[in-house]
Amino acid sequence: MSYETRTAEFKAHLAAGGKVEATDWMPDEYREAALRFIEMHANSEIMGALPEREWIGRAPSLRRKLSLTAKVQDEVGHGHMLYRVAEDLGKPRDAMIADLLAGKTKFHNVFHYPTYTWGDVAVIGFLIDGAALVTQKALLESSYAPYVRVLKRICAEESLHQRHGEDLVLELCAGSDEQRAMFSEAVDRWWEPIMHFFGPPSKPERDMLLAWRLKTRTNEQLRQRFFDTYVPKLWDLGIPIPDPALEYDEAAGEWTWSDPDWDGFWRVVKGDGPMTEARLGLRRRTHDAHGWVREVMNQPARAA
Amino acid sequence: MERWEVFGKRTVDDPWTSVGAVHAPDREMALLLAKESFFRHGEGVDFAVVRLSDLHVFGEREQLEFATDKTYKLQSGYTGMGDKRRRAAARAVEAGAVIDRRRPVDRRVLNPAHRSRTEA
Repeated sequence: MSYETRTAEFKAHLAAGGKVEATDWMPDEYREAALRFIEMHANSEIMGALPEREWIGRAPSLRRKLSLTAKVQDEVGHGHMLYRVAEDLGKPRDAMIADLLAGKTKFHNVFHYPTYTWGDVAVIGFLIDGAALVTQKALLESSYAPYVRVLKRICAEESLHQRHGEDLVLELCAGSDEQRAMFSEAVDRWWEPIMHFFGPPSKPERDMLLAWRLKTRTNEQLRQRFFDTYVPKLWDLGIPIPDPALEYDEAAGEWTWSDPDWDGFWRVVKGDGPMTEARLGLRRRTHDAHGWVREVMNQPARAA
Repeated sequence: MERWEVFGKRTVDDPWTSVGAVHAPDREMALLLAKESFFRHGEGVDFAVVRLSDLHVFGEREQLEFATDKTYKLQSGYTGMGDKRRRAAARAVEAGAVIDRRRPVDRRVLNPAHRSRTEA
């Protein structure tokens, strides 16, 4: 059977809602798209743990310190589960980690920014995890079955993180004027990166990830779903959102919003964000310092 | 006679799930007994058997229990969210931070300042 015929059959299988296993035949384009997508997701889990890690030492109570530590540990675990899935698509894990450290592969835009106060931790825990949860839940419909299996576990843990994040937000918002201002200022800082996170409104017919059913929702559908859940919650807390156009249009059945600076988005995802170098630098130093652990783990077992 | 643990898949996409055990002298017999015991009514698309002695059991229950309070790792560590939401919403009103902008009507409104909108 020719490559073209097999590809056509593969597409028909996907169109009928069929799933793909690592051992199944798949077109090279599918393999590459799945690998790149899952690798970036894995990178983002690892790099996404760092902004919160910065706050473990500064958390305001022992319980907050413990819960943040547990969350960071979960995120790193997600990264490793995802590298494991990506690895089966043909790129060794060492190569993926090396490419991340060398700045050759990407991670999500939101993890390229600095954190200034405990308010930023609340925003990350509630809104950024919330945005990630919206996208990850939609990915449970993905055509790549090993990814879906891992996402089920990830989503279960993320919904705990989400609750933890909302708990942080409610504590600040029920608190003093200073605490409320601290959170509100953090929302101001993060709103644009969060809009960037969903990506620019894209043309579905040009999105290869949609064509391969690796994703099933467009950027805009996910952004609207995020608005549905989180905008009313913030407004109830009296926290303004720095977008004067943001409002629900009953007639259109969707939210209106203003375009952020998309040039800034492209700069950041290409690795030119305010904290890109600092965070990658920390990751490189940690990677080198822990080289001995990998060496010991890879030694053949000795007879007891 | 040896005990064999039986695992099944309900659909091809499912992970292996334990469904029970059989006693059998060898692999072939274990597979046959597993099929007759657990998979006669369309329970799944595939199944497998593993010798119980091939399962390396951890067996130290106390190590899986939390020595200290670790409820922050559980959903149950974050209870009373509804009350917390209402308290924070009331605090917003007290701070004069009321945001009256158009939102989907089916969205629950916690801030009493918005109540008129939902009743309208």
